[in-house]
Amino acid sequence: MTGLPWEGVDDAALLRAHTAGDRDAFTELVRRHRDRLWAVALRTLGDREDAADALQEALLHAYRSADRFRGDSAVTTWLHRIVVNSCLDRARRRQVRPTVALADVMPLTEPAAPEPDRDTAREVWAALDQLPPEQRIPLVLLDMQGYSVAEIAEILGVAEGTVKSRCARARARLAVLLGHLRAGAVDEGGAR
Amino acid sequence: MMPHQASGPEPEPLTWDELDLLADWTDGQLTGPDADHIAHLVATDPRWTHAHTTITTNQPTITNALTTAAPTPHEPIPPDILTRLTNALDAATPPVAERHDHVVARRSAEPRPFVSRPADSRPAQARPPDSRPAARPSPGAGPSSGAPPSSGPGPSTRSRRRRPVIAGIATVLLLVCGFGGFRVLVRTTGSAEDAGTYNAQVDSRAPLESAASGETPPSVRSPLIVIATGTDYTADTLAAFVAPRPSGELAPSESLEPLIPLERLLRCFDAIKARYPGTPEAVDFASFEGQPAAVVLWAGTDGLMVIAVRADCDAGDAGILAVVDHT
Repeated sequence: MTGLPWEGVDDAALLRAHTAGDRDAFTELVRRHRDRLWAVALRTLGDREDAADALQEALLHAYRSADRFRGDSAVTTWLHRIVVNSCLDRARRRQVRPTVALADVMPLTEPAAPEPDRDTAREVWAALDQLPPEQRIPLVLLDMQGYSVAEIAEILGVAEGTVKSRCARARARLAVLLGHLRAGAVDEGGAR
Repeated sequence: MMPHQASGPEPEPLTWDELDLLADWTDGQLTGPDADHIAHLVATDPRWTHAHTTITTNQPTITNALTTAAPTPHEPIPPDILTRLTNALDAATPPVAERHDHVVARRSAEPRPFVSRPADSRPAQARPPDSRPAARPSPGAGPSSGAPPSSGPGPSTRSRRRRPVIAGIATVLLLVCGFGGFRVLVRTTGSAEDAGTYNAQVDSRAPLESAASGETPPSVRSPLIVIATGTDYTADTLAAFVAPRPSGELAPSESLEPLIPLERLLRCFDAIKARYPGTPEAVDFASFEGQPAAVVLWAGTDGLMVIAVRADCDAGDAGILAVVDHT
């Protein structure tokens, strides 16, 4: 930790300070949220370089457009929304012109994970890669990142029912795509 | 695209669209006649019955699989990525200039980097302060090597911008940015009626001038080519979007029906620009995979892109359907 010059200052105040010209304020804002935002970008895109690009693009956008933040949502939600939108754009691009499969580049859990788990993870990411980005992103946020339906709805700017529907559709597709795992790696491999 | 299922005596699999409906019904998202209809199908149609069984019996497996594939709960941003972000943000232009520094008391005497640098990080090449990151490092050059090289030309590998060439199109208007707003300067083909619809909007200039004389100048190069081909673009054909040359031989058309009123189109451009810095070069009122869409040839900072946006594209919501690099 630093000298905690911003201790007790909330995110909204940091953003106001940033738009007023304090160059340290945005640094602090990024420091507070960067790990979660990175995780969101990495998990929704599945590609480390794509995620880095999306995060950089998003943070630059937030940095420059902070004066347009109206305070209708929490700053962290606003940041997440910008990152997710950036990821969505990239995912759509990749879907139109795929260059690399998620499963080929996704860091698969811990390096020491048992081989069956690694195989399963690879298959899961390959299946996730086949989902439309509009379905994959809320599913990853909900089932792999632990965000609530309400949080995802706010991040995506859609109704909670829409989030539920997209996730249900995504799971249904995965059930078809990964049905062979039912008596396979997951059960035998002792999925955690 | 059809869902893949194992071959055998199983019934024909549902289409993805059918599976979406089944998922909605299974999840309780459908009500009324729609729900009754799907319930009837699940009860009587072997395809639907089998698919329903598949997605319900496999749900625990999917939950387990997602958990297995999920990363560790807390995964800090890697040092090299952090360094990259630091450099990019350090180089970025603040939303307001330093002249506002007096507004907020500085909390530290020395400016800090925008993101604290990891202690063990080596100097990394800063990316330009641009919203579109530079090209990826070549395979094997960075910690994330493992990704195969991109199959297409990367943004920074594009040595020159390709100009759109003539296409078989319906109607062309050229809009020019002039004092007092945008207006139709040249109608390159067709009868007087060709541009009637659009002219009706363009000539009632108040909203256009309003749009064009605001604090933020519209981000439109001059001239902007606007066409209405009605083409139904797909993911495969979008990248090959071609716009006509103004002087080309163009097929006449019956009318030009603007999908998006010009006033809103200008706001739409600004919404796109917020995502992708650049300017529009051409717009085709068309459709994308069956959905009414404006297909925009966009001169981004790293080269030409083709962006399909929904017909309701407007300020704040570009409604982007697809983005590809122009080929």
